[in-house]
Parts: sequence; structure tokens; C-alpha cells
Amino acid sequence: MATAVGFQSDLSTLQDLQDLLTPKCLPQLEGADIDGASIPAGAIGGDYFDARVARSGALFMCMADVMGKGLRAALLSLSLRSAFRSVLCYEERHCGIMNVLNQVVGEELRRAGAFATFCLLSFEPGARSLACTNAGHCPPLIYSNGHATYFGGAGQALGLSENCPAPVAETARLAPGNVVVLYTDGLVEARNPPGEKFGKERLQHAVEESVALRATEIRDAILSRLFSFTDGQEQRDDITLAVLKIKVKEGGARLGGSERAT
Amino acid sequence: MEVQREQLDSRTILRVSGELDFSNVDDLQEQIETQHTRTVEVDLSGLAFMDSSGMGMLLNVARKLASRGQVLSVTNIPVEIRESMALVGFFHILGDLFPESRAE
Repeated sequence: MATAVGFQSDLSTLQDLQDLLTPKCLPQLEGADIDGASIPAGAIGGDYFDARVARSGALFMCMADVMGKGLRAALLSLSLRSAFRSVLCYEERHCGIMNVLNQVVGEELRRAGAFATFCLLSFEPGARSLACTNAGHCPPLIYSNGHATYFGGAGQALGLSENCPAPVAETARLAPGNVVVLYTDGLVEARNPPGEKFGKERLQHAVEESVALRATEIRDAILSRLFSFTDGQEQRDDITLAVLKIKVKEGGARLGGSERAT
Repeated sequence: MEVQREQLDSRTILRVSGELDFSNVDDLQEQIETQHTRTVEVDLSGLAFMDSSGMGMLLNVARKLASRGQVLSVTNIPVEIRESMALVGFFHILGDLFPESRAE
């Protein structure tokens, strides 16, 4: 009986942690809308997604996949989130953010014998410029000029080695109607009953077919395509995705707004 | 997951097949760590799946073996698994930790 109670409280602790890791309300920008979703494979995994508006008014989004599962992965994700949110209070340069995360979180990860893939995006609404720094994470998908393509070079995941140089940020200019999708490998590696992977091409098609919609609807369209592909097959990894949609100008709405949301 | 062991003079080969994930990484880690030859080769040619826990375990065990003066050599990594390892940046630190492993 004591064991059953202990197990129950462990489970509810994990669910509480999962709840803490899910952003409660995503920042709203005048020129862009965002939404995301996370579907854990077990009680809790190591996927983490966050979106914040920094002091300059730029939107920062990040996604991470911490190695492992359970309490340890959840605590490392929380630690990563605290470090990310703290550094963003005073540093908005990607290399500065990545260096702090590599030093602080990288050390914790190594101590735990783990690592975390991490992708950082920032979007400056005035110039509609996007910057992406990728530390070993799946490359984000960008829809522009009629095509969905993968973007952002590869760097080393956080925690792999001590003296890891910060990956170089890549930049792009976005236009109204463009879409950016961040996701974890659980999405593209989700399998259907015969064992095929959902894959990057199906994700591209799902985005290309739904770009005219709002971020929430694009997210739902991707998930609906995914679920019809996986056809009830149980997945072994968490699936997380986030969608950034640059709004198409509506009746004089100001696109260059940089109002602070935090 | 199944592991077949072959002992040569200064090298032990562990041929791993099946799936390596969160649920069984500890088993393989123990089997690697209890080898005392100069080189421990982990042959992954029969591996169908490896998650990030598997990658992390190989890294940790490589560090541990290196500290004991041994060498972990990961060989015959299937293409799909190698691609996942490459994305994470695993092979950037290859020179330090996996002197005998090959990305290609």
C-alpha cells in the first residue's frame, strides 16, 4: 500500500513538472502569431519549448530535447528553462545566450551524464528578420516563396563537450504569410503500424498545405496529418512542435509593432 | 537487445543487435564497463534503433574507459543511427573520445 501511494505521488509530481514545463500563455505579437503543442510518450519526457518577448521587443523561441526520461530529464529541462529565461533578461545576442547555456547548463548536463539538443530562434518584428542558432537539434522548417525548406546549420548539442564554440546564427528575412516550424525528432521519427517514419517530407507537405491558416490551425493540421499517418500506433518518443506565422496585413494593422509583452 | 561477446588478444568485441533505448542502456553500459581489454569495440551493425539515451551512454562510457586507460571503439554504425548521432554533434568530439571510431 505504501508503495502504491509512493508511486502515485511520484506520478503526480511528474505530471506537475510536465505542467510547469508547458508554457501557460504564449506571447502575442502584433505582427506574428505562435502556438505549440507537446505530446509526451510516457509520463514525462525531456522535450521543452518556450517563447518570450525580450526587452528589445524581439520574440525568442527555443526548443530542446533533453536526453532521457522521467524526473531527471524533467529537472534538467527546468534548469535549462531557468537559465534561458534569466540570460534573456540581459543578453539578446545569440552567441552570448548560447555561451551562457553551454557553460551553465552544459556543466549540469555533463554532471548528469546527459546532453540536450537546443534550437534558438529570434524574430525581430520591425525588420521581420529571423535568426536561428542550432545546437544539435532538428533543423527548423521555414515556408517562404512558396516552398517549405529546412534551415539552420548544425552545432554541437549542449553538454557534449566543455569548450564547445557557440554555433553560428543563420539569418533570414521573413515576409507576411511566412511560417516557421520548430519540432523535436519525435515528430519526424513517429512511425505508422508498418514501421515507416513520418519523415521530413510529410512535414513539409503538411506545412505547404496549411500555410494560409493561423499558427494554431497550422499546428493542428500538422498533428492531424501525423495522427492519420501513425494510425494509433504507440510512439516511443515525445512529440513537440511550435509554429510561428508572420501575419498577413489586415486592414491597416501595424506590422512593425514591437510592444513588450513581458 | 542482444549482445554477443568475442574476445581477441587486447580487444573485446561486443556485437549489439536489436533496439537500444532508455529501458536497456544500463545493461549494455554494464557489459561494456566490465571488459578489461585495452580496446572495447562495440559493433552496432545489427542495431535497428538507438535513442538519445543510447548515445549519451556511449559518451559516458567512453569517458569512463578513457579515464581507465582503455579505448571505446564504436564501429559499423547503421546509416540512420549515424545520421542522428551526426545531427547531435556526436562526431565533433570523436577525436577526443572515440579515437578508433569512424564517422564514415
